[in-house]
Amino acid sequence: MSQAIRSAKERALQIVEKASRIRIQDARDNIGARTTGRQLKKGHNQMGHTQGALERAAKPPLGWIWGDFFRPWQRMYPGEKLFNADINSRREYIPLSLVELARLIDLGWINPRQPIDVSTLCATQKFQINPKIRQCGFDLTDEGADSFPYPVDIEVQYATQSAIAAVEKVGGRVRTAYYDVESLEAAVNPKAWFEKGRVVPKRKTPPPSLMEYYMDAKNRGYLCEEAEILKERQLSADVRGYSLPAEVKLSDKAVDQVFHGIPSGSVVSLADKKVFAPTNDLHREYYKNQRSDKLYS
Amino acid sequence: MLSRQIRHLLISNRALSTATSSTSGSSSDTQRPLWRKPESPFVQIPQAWVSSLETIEDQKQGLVDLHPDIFRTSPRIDILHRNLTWQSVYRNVQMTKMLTKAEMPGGGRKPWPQKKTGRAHVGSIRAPQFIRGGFANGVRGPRTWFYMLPDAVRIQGLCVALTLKHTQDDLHIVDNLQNLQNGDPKFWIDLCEARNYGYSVLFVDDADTVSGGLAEAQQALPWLNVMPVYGLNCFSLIKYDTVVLSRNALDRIEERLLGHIHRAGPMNKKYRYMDYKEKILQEAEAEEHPHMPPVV
Amino acid sequence: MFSKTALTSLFVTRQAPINICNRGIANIPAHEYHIRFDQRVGRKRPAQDVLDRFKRLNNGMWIHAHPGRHKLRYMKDETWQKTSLYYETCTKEQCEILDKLMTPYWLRPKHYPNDPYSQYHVRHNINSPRVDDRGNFVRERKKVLLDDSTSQRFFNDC
Repeated sequence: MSQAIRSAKERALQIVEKASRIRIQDARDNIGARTTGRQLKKGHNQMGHTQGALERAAKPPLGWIWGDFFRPWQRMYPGEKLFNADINSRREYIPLSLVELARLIDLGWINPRQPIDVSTLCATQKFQINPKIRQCGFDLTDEGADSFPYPVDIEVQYATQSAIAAVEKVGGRVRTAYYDVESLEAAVNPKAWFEKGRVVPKRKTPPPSLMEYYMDAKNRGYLCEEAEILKERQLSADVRGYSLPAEVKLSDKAVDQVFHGIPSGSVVSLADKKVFAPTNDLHREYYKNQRSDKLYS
Repeated sequence: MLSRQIRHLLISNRALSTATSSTSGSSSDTQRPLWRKPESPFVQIPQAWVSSLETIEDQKQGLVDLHPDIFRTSPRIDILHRNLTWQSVYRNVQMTKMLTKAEMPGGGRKPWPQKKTGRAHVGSIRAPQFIRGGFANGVRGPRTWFYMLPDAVRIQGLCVALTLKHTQDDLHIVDNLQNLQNGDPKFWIDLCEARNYGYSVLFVDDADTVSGGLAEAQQALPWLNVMPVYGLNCFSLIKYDTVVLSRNALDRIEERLLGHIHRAGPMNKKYRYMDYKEKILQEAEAEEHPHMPPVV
Repeated sequence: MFSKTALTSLFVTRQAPINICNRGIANIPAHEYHIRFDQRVGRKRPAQDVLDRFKRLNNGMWIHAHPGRHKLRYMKDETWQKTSLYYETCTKEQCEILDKLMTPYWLRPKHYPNDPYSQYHVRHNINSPRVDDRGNFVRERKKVLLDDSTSQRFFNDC
């Protein structure tokens, strides 16, 4: 191999090969790794004459730089409602672009032959979702929509139209589905949920403000009719000008189901590798009824 | 280190020789499947000869592919240094404790009046300016230097140490270490001499215990040592001039290190207050003491 | 006319000693020079008056409204009428100060669908490496998911 195409690692190893045997006393840290800056004189780090003068002096308010103590600069600007007023009612989503999805499949973190949902994506440990701070799941964005090769069956919480079209162009299937806080917590870390012995929760129906989104066939919402979705699929194919290949449908989840193959209301034992369905009538009744998420509007 | 072309030559030569002499069928060693082998064309696949310890002369039995992520990593001497420093430092404990004025016996009384004696103003005969007084800013043990090196650094350190040993031709692989025939120290001295093993040799095996010839030789010769795979560490790898791995140990090391390199997420659980808040706040709920009020 | 000037001169003389008087200790309320901690959560509270007036974009830049944009609009010129409605960015030093008044929640990049600020969360056409205040390299996306060239191609925000 010539010098030009060899990697830096190989060149370093070539030096090691020629060197004498590396002993304990030869190991050393990088230059400058352990040295820190030194203080020249004691007085140099003091803003006052003495320490006591500092302690007893009047302190400016937080964020003050210059001028009046009573009117720090950050309070001179007008308030703006659009900035942060509705932070407690905003829903945050984790962006999942099509490039990142393709890369995860390329690297073997995700199997494209299995249906992909929140649990699959979180099991890669590449995304952190904390449902408690109003992170509601994944948003499928359209970066890399031109060259997305995998026909996948993916369920996300939010998706843009162009991302949906890109997946359907290669024969994939997209559904947007709502997860309430409890079921999202279960889906994000199923192992912890099962080990606690908690019941697999029932996915609640979305709050009123999101109901419209999930009942819209344009968004491939999980609450609308299959026929309408098929119509929309064809429509978007016609509008964007691609021929629609046959759809891969790997598996279908019920409207209230969190995990594939595990009915809600059951308990999972990881030690026995068994799923226990409820036998009590009261429990069965409870998990049969549809409930709406009343926590948020 | 053999480059790709030379390796092909060697394989073809060996195939010819095996065809003629019909030795043992260990030729499948070369085609060892490597788990998650890097796809990059710049990565060379390191190789090593497999030999046996039964004879004094080095009789090669076959070639074995080593995983480039472990035996061909970049030689990060600084990471090796961090590992060695950690290993030598983390177990240090300083037990010295110099007594202060308060901890020395006596010294409660004022030795002479404060004024008009012409002597220094002193409150106690154990004051730090006295000989046989207490120490003002002394060494206050017990003090430890314990810290944990991050997992990733420890794993990379092991890979670096193995890489260094392999690139400097100090890593040898043998088929077996257990129940060797000859335990005579003279045999082992000759063996190491003939094969150009270094002044000190470390044998690494998969099993906890070793028996047979190697065990006897190890008793007699202080520069020869045996270690299980789980005891493998940077310090020993660098301390011993030559490292000899058994085939089982090689497989085990690769399996363990690769498992850690490709692990998703941290090994230790993160204990965040956020996750345990509810539990902690409800901790004293069931607590009912007959006399005392509840804690929370 | 005379009485008016007399009045103003009177005020000036009245106010002068107050202005000269220099206070040794500024009595600002105690909560303003401490970092406040929430007793229930046991964590730092963000400065609320900053949150009311500023917004942090995902690239670490803070924006605020134009001060005095509602004052005497009728007597100001056309350009000002237009530009006063724009949001302004803070300087680097101001951004650093505001970051220190915040909690980790507010410093985290957040993604909202249909965000009106989505165009402004990334800095475009800047090819220099992005470095934070400690000199560490900052990426828009995680390295594991995307290498730098791919990130450049699709996200155009490196």
